[in-house]
Amino acid sequence: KAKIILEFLPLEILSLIVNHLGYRDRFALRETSAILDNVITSLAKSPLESLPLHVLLRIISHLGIRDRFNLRATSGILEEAISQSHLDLSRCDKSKISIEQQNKTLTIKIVGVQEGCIDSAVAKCM
Amino acid sequence: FLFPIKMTSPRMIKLTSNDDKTFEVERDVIKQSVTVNTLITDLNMDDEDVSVENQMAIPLPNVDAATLEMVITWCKQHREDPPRNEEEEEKKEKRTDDIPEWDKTFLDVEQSVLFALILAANYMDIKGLLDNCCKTVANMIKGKTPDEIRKHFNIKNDFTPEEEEQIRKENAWCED
Repeated sequence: KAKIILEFLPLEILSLIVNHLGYRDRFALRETSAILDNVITSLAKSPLESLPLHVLLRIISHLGIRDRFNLRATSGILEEAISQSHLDLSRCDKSKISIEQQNKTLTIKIVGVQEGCIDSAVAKCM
Repeated sequence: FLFPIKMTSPRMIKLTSNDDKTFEVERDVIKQSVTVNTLITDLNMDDEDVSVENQMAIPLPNVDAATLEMVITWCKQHREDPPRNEEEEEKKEKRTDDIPEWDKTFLDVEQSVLFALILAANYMDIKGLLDNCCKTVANMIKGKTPDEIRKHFNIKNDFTPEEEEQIRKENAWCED
């Protein structure tokens, strides 16, 4: 019911509401319906942020790990999108990666990455 | 002996943009658009008996005339391309230095035009065009710092100071 009311709001009112939302909430709202997705993307100032998620992920798939991290640091919406993409280890600088196997445990190390920071990246790789 | 030769002109399809401009395009050219192709098949528009004058125009409500004209130009240029196998494409090594020269020049346009083309390629489901547009945008991102990317794409930094600090910590390793 709430969704239907939102969809029928005039654009300027909806934009006022959206302006009060953080990026995670905007992202969630985009996923509720095609109409709201269109409205929210039309309010985005950056063309990158207004792309459909699967197109954005297609662009990200062409980026290496360093460029993905840099893009992630630009804005919350892009950070959210990149967190949904799979970081592909095969695209990392191979000299920085070591994989060790001991019994059933596989350890992946990426040189220069602070402990803890790589958790999410490796989790996506797996 | 003289045999009568039946001259057959290429089958034409009419497309209408969201600003009401109608384009006639060869059936063979526009087959690269999965969306249009499906509509033609579903609506039985391949019927040889229906002349192009009597044919219904396919409306493309998400594409304006200028963008549609560019899409048609791209499709004409790539009409001889072999059909894409998406499964094979997925398996291929991801690279952005393999955009054909013609496409590089064609896609060297203002950012707003490039993004309109991306949205049109996505809506019309033209994988080859979408792929080359995405590679072009990826090339714009490559090698830039977060600040440079923000400036290039007019991205507003919406992180809280705490979130930005956290991201900076996580990124420290790639700023060597």
